[in-house]
Amino acid sequence: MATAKKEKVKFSQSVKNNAFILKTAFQIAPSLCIMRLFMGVVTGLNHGVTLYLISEILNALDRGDPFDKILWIIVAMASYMLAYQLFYSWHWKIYNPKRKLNFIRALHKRFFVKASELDLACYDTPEFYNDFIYSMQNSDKSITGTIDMISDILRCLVASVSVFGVIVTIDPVIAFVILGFSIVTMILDIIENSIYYKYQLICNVIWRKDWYFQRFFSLVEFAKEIRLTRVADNMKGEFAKNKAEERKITIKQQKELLLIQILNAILSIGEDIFIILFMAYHLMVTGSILIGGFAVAITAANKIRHMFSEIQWRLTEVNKNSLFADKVKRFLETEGKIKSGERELDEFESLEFRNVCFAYGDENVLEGVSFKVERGERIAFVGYNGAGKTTVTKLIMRLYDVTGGEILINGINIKEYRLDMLRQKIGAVFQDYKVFATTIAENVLADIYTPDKEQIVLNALEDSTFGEKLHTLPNGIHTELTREFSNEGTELSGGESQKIAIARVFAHNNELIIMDEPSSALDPIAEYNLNLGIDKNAKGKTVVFITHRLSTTRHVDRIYMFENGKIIESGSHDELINLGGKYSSMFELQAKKYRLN
Amino acid sequence: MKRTKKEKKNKENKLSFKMVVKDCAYAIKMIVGASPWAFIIRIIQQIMSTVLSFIVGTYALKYIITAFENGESFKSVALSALVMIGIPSIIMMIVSSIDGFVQNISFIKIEKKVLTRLYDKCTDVELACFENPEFFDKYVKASSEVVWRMWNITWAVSNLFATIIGMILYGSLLFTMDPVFIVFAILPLFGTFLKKKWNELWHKHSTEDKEHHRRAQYAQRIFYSSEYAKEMRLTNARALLLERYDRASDGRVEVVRKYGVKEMLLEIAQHGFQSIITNPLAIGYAIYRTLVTGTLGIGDCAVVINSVSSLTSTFSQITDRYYRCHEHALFYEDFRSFMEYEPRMQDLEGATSPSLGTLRLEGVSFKYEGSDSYVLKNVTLEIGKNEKIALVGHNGAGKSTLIKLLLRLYDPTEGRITLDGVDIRELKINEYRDLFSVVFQDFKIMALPVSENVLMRPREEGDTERIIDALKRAGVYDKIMELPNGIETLLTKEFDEDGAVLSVGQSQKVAIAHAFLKDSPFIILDEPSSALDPVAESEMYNNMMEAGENKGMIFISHRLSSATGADKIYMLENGEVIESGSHTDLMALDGKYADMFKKQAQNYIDIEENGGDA
Repeated sequence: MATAKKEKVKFSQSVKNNAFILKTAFQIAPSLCIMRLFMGVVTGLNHGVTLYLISEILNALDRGDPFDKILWIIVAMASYMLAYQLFYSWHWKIYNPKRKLNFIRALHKRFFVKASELDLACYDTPEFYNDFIYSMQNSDKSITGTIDMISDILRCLVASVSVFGVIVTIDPVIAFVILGFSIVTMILDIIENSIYYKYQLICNVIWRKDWYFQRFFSLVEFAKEIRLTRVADNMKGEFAKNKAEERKITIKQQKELLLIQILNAILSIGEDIFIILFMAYHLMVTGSILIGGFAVAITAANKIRHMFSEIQWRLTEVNKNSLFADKVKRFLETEGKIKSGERELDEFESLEFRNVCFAYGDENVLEGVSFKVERGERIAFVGYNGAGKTTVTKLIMRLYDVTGGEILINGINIKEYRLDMLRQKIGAVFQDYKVFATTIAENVLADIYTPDKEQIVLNALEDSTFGEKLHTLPNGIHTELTREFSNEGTELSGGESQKIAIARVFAHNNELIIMDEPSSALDPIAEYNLNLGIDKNAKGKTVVFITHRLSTTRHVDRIYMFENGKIIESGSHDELINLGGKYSSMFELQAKKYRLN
Repeated sequence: MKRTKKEKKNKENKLSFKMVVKDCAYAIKMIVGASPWAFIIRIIQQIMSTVLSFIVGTYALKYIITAFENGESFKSVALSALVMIGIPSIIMMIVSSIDGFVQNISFIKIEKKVLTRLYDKCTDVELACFENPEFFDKYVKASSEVVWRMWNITWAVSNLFATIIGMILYGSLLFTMDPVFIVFAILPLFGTFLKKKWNELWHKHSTEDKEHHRRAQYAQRIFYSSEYAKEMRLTNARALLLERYDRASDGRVEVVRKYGVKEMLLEIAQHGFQSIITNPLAIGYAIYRTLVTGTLGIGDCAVVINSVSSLTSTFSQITDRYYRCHEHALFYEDFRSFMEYEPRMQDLEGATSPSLGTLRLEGVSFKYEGSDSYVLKNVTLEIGKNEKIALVGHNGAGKSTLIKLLLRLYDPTEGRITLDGVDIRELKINEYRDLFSVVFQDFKIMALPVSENVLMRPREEGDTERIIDALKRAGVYDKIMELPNGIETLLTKEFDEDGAVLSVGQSQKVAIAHAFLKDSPFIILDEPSSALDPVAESEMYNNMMEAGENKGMIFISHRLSSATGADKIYMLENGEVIESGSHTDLMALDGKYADMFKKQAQNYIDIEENGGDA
């Protein structure tokens, strides 16, 4: 319901928002916009011109003009039709598609860059994500919505005016009667639409459920459970309930609409009959109109009625477009809080956390965390799920900024460094590593591949123990990953993808390496080999491990045990075991099963 | 091979007239079968609408002008016109009101019936179908499009009928005036022919465009995806994807360039036949007859001029509706093949109820359909009634596939699986599967209340106690009771923004609660590997072991430490069982298992020996 309220915007604001989109579009592609609006005028005018030519021919006939004179009008009509069609087809088949593609491209690229500069925190707030990112992602159609709408309204207006002009010359009274009828019809349409709109809001919930059922039954993820349990029956029950609800709502809606629909129908019958009788009267009794005028009047009335109803239908899009425009505006105006500093960062020497606090909203994730790592050291963060270990790594990379305390690199607050240089120094393998639908080489580089980088890629893959798999791939490092684009694409297993993610770090020769659960998807042998790879590659580098497998932590210089956002124990493995605290009991839990013999 | 693929593709995009009729008939039959009214009323409404606009726009006009020329009195003309227009208008009004009502309401019924059939089908077909991309695409398309297709095909078919009637009305009117006018009705047929060419061209165009569009959309998705957000900030992948996006956009523009001119010319030529040449010719001919030969009344001439475009446009309408039907027919062709698909995993005739006993795999080999390589090779193993066995091995060694075979989600390619000596293919499939509780690593929480996520079946008497008990045993009851509606709290945010979202650990406990509740003789556990911290992991392991007490138990183990307690361990490599026996046996064997175990254990064990690094 809250969203329903939010979606009701003042009309003046709507117009302003639409104007903003129009302005943006004009800036990026002025010729496309002008042409599109011009097209609206031309198509609108076409209605009037066609009608005028027909009535001219009929009137000439009535006046008893000679055949060759009328023939010229017909020739003029044919040439006009051809010229119109030429222009129309050229615009829609050649001019518009090309320009529109380029326009969309220019706009999207602007959005892309903006999106990739937003703070990561933006992605964590569902409101922001749903409101902005989702609508940007689905902006292909909406983006030209405003301009299409204006062009269409223009078309209808021009058509109405030009057709109206033709009728006025026939009989001014009938022209105003048609106008009157059309306005009343339009008002009824507006009422009808607002009823529809009201029910649409209610039905949204129902449709959302429908969509879930559809996914439930069609996605592989649920397929196993559906076969092994009877949960499908529960879902079918929910589905039936949902349909019953939809039926109830629809019946109510139809009842409300019925009166308006009947009124509308009566109005349209009345208009037809009135026009025919009125015109027939003038034709037969007063003789004030000619056959030509009589014949085109009905056609003209229909046209105007349609145009009016289309205008009001189009106007309902003002709100929709405005909503979108508002999102675009706010999206483009969103400024990241994480600002780059000025200072250059040379060699990495040390990293220090001083009493760092961090909170997501109201929830404290880290409280007073302090530690220091010197170049070449290896440390490990261990602890329960949700204890804040991963957050620490995100703070180091300035994906978030601390809410209290400070982080120093080489003794200087990281906020002072240039953001790009800081991030360049750090290589990270995340728990939720991602593989791109590009070649292996490009995945390892996470950049455009050039032949001179071949050796770097090969070495990195070798060290991340991907080498064996690589030899089985006919295209080697140029193998396209994922089946995103073709069924022949190579789909890697979880472990293999993780190796690619690790190779990415090796290839970049970063000075500070963060490994978040680097071996989680690997089987024991692969894990063992990977550890060797890390040892070899990370010689002299600073490495931060986050791990649940306490076997990994044995060889690090220092272990920090996290609990509820605080460091509760720290020291080398042996020290912590001797301490007999939480780390030692956690280690014991894992180790005891290996000590059977 | 290549040729058949191409042929198939061609076939997919084009259907013969007979097939179009057949597929549309199938769809209409399905719709009418669910509720006949929607379609019948729509047909009447469409036809009435055509007839009415013929009367108002053309026939009444001709009538009045003729009457005027014959010098009839206005009064009688007005009265006749009133009747002529008024009666059909009132009928039309009534039909339209009913139509609005019936369309909306019977369609809910139709949707419900058709989707229920579809969903039933989808629960009946075997899992393999879901893993066959071609089948799967068809199915996903079927379920997401069938509703609006039903709406649209109803409209397209009824409108096609109405347009044909309109053509007959206008055609016969003009024909009675002068048979020559039929020529002007035939000319647009050439346009129809061009329209067909245009459609083919457009199809090629959009197929080529689709490829580029997909690539552009991929880049777009990545830029906005929260999952890739970190990578996009920390690496230079942005440049890579921008380049990809540019390339895709260039490709799309290139496609427009390639087809644009041809499409434009075809469109102009098509309109040439359908209106630009035809209409002025017809008008010219009518005027010639009136003015030069004097064989056509001025009233008739006015009618011709006014309605010739109505006649010629019916042709383009008919072709347009036909192509819509054709497009729907393509969809229903797939839909029908899906609905008529016979599930392979069905009870055989004389299928018996399973009796408990030893579960045995005898020389089982398996390969996925269409694949040449075996995932499992000659696997033999057995699980006694209360035995616990562990499956270990590298990723991709075939452990998960073996589980799928045990659950009869697939049937072996060679060899057989028996329960108490009976081939499981001879058992009633649902009763057989009911013998197992499974906790998958990728278990899914459904958009249902907690209680039904534990039950995984419709509610029965006395279930509440069972659910509470199961949640308690799984160790998650207290957490659940903290939720706003206790065990009736709706999970996930699918239906309701206030729905509860459980952590991975809690979700798994709910899945385990299901296993406790089901209390089946066999339990299968796919060990979660890494999402849990050591304490939670150990707790989970104990939970699982408790769930498996007094049951046959099969678990896939990623950490060998948890396999040590099994009665028997099977080590798989490349689809084969390479070692089997108890932990002690296998360690004594000193083979691959022992090697793997030692590698994992060394960091834990050598501390005992008080030694330095190995």
